[in-house]
Amino acid sequence: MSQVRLYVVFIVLAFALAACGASGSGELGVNDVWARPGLADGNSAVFFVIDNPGAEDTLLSASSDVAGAVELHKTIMEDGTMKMVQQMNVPVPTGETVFKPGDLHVMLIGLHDDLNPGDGFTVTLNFETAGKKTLKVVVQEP
Amino acid sequence: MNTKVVQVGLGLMVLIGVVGAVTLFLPKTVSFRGTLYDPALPAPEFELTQGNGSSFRLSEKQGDVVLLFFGYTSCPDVCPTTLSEMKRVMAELGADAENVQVVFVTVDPERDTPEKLKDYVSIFNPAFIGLSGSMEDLEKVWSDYGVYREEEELPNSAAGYLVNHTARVYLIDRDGNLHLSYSYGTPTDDFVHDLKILFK
Repeated sequence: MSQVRLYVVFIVLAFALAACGASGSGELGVNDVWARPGLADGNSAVFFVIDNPGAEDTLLSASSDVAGAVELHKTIMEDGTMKMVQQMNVPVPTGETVFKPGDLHVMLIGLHDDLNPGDGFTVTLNFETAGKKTLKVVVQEP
Repeated sequence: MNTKVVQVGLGLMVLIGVVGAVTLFLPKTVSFRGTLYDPALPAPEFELTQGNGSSFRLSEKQGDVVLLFFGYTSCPDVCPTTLSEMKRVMAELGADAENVQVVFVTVDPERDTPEKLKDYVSIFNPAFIGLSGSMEDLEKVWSDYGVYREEEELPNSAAGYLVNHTARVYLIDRDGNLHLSYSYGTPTDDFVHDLKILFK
């Protein structure tokens, strides 16, 4: 009888641990990373999907050696006019945060060289909690 | 009782016949997916400078459909998205694409030279035309097409300034009339649908 109780406790503990693993302690990941083509001295933008299975984090900044400056921006529509608003940081709640055309994007300002479809480079995202994530970026047309 | 049923049946048949005949002979209404200018208005003429330094007059393209968009080469998001969509529209049109001209007019003449515009639009399609000009000439074009643009300084950004602007695509038909316009984010299928109607 006491052995049965022990099994029950073990099974309950196993489920509890599995549930913890699924909901709270996974690692933040960044997927579907791509950038637009662009011309030397011009601008481009990087897009991706952040998958955050843990507690809320914050994207503080981004960096890359393909451009003179790398900033966080968001495109918004206001009274029929498209405008961009620089973001000092971007909250990353639990779940997906999508950087996509017409919305959040990492802006590459002053490209050192042309970015052509098929080219690759790296960009590093700096999160408050998850730290730095260096991503492989593929240049492609949307 | 039976006579009544026959009468009602005959009445229904006559009604269906009349409705069918009216539907058949009424002129077909064309339903565009873009915003229709009704009636279509003559597209305001303009003359600006293209990449090789020569002048471009809108009226030169009469006979073709012109898809006109206003933007700037430093724009990292909305303008390249729209130009990519125009590229897809051209691909989906097949042979009809020969009769469509995409024209991109700058809202940022300080930074966008005609040469720079030519290089920029060529990323998407070498047949696209990029146009710049003097501030005076461009202000008239923006005003004629109801384009709002405003430079916005970004004190904390390396971009220096960005240009907020309306992001509609204007369709000028083969007779040189401003016929339709499309808001940002219109599906490419909608452009193709409307262009196919115009080419029928």
